[in-house]
Amino acid sequence: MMDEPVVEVKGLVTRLGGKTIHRGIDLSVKRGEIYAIVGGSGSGKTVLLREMIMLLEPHQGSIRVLGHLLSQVTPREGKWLRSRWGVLFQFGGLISSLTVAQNVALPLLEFTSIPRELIDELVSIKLSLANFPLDWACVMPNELSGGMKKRAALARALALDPEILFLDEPTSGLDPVAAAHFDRTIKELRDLLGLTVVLVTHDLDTIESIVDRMVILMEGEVLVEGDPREVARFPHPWVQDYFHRRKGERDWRGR
Amino acid sequence: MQDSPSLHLSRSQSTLRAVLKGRWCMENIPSLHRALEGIEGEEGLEIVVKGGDLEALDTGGAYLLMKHTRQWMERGARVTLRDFREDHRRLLDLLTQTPEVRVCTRPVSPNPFYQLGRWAHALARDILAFMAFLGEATLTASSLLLKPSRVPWQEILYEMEEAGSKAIPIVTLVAILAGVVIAYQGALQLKRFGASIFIVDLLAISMAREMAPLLTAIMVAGRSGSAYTAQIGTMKVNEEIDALRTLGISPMETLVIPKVGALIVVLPLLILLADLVGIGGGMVISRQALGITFHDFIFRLQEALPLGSFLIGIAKGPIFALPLGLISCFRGFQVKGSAEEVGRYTTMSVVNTIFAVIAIDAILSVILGNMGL
Repeated sequence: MMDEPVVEVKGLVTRLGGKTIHRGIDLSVKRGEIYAIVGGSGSGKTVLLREMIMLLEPHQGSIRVLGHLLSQVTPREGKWLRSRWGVLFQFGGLISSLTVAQNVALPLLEFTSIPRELIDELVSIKLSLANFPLDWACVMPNELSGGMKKRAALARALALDPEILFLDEPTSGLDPVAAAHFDRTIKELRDLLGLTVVLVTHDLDTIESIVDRMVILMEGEVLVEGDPREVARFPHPWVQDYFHRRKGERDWRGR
Repeated sequence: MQDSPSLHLSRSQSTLRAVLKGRWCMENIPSLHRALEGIEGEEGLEIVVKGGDLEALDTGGAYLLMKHTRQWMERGARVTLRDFREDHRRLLDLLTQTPEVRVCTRPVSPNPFYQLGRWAHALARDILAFMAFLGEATLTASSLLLKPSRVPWQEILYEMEEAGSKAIPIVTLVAILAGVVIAYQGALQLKRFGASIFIVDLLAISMAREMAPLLTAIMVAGRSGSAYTAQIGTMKVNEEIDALRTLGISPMETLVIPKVGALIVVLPLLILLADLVGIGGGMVISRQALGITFHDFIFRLQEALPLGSFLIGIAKGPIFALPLGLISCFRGFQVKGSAEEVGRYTTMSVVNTIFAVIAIDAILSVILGNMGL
């Protein structure tokens, strides 16, 4: 059971508004790895992520998460699956009428019957795991900066101790220092809690510092999948542009 | 379930051995909490916790164990953790380092005095801000009067179509229904006095003077006022207003003046329409319920409705339009930050404008009544 992929996508086809977004995608994410989905704007990365978390249904093909075929789960299984993964949306997705602490408590109240005073303590633990300053816990989300929102949303994603963490552009909109810090937090959490992390990103720094394996989507198909260092050597103009434009070649060629 | 978590206790004199088994995870916290509470950590007791057989341990289970360990130690017991797997040990270490803090997740009900003060403060701030807005609008409007070539005719015409022409169907429908209601109610009462013909007076005066202006203004507040707040508010959230300012375009001139100007022109016209169809609707009911012919009705109407009352009704159009337009635009400019604010301010705008219209109508009634009009 441990060797079975945590997320497995086979022959995935998606059409949205008459346009074919995915034309047969195969990929698999192993337990405990940090897996990045990369691709140009409009290549369907976020759509793929949303299909993995049952917000969208693919046209054809199958997605298995933790051994469950998503197209055939019963409502009960669906609820259980949703408690086994945490999602960090691009802009946080915090409920704006609840304080940060209430946002983090929300999944605990929904899925468990833990007594209230224990929940209050668990929330503070989750917030400190996500590096969120506790003095800000009773603040409304719209008073937070972008970086703080992401950390609060990460705490909420961690609330139920999920097995999988789905992150949609976790470092977009953060300054480089905050982004590096966020990357470190994710890696530490993975090491500590044994999480599997699936993330959509554009950020080369994230890929360089924490990602174990990655896939590049291009025109609805998988262009290349593998270790970032192997992918960086893949002879395709887009891939070469992507890896060697911003950071300079020495970072990647030197390895 | 086979992997349900458990706690096996065995006691020998001053040593308590606790063996943890199964999944010590989030979903099992309630039962584990009860089990752990059964252990009393008394002075001098040695508690040995063995975690070698644990199937899984997550932050929930680890937190619970550390919480109780801390309590036992406070009561004077000695606690040792043994045989834990490497990753479990690291998790436990981490949770010993994080301080036990409670953050409030329960909704707090604020002090009523605090709320009253906050409300009063917000009201005072809103009134001051509205004064400033009114001043800016007046300045812009007067500068446009001095330079008529700058008047945004095109925008005004567009807003007139949006707030005027497109409101014709609903205003017509509402006015007909109001006329029908007044005529029916009036007919029931007047019949008993044998004063059926006075249905014309009742209908014409109440419709032209009060009902048509009020109903029309309320419909326009709900249709266009709310749209103005939402539109300006959304533009504010998208930084469009800031963009206009940096381009040297005054939002007051391009957004507020056309909207308020269009309402001032369009509202009296809509009131006139409401007068006609409302009285028309009543006329049909009068024939059905009281047998008054259209000829008699119109003949009586010429005497029953003085020109003054009719004109007062029409004049209420611009009088209502001005605060209606200004308040709804003002509320739009107050939006800052998130999309949620747009909804909040739109609600406030509709409540404020309808209240303003009714309040102004009441004041007018008193003033005009004292003047004998």
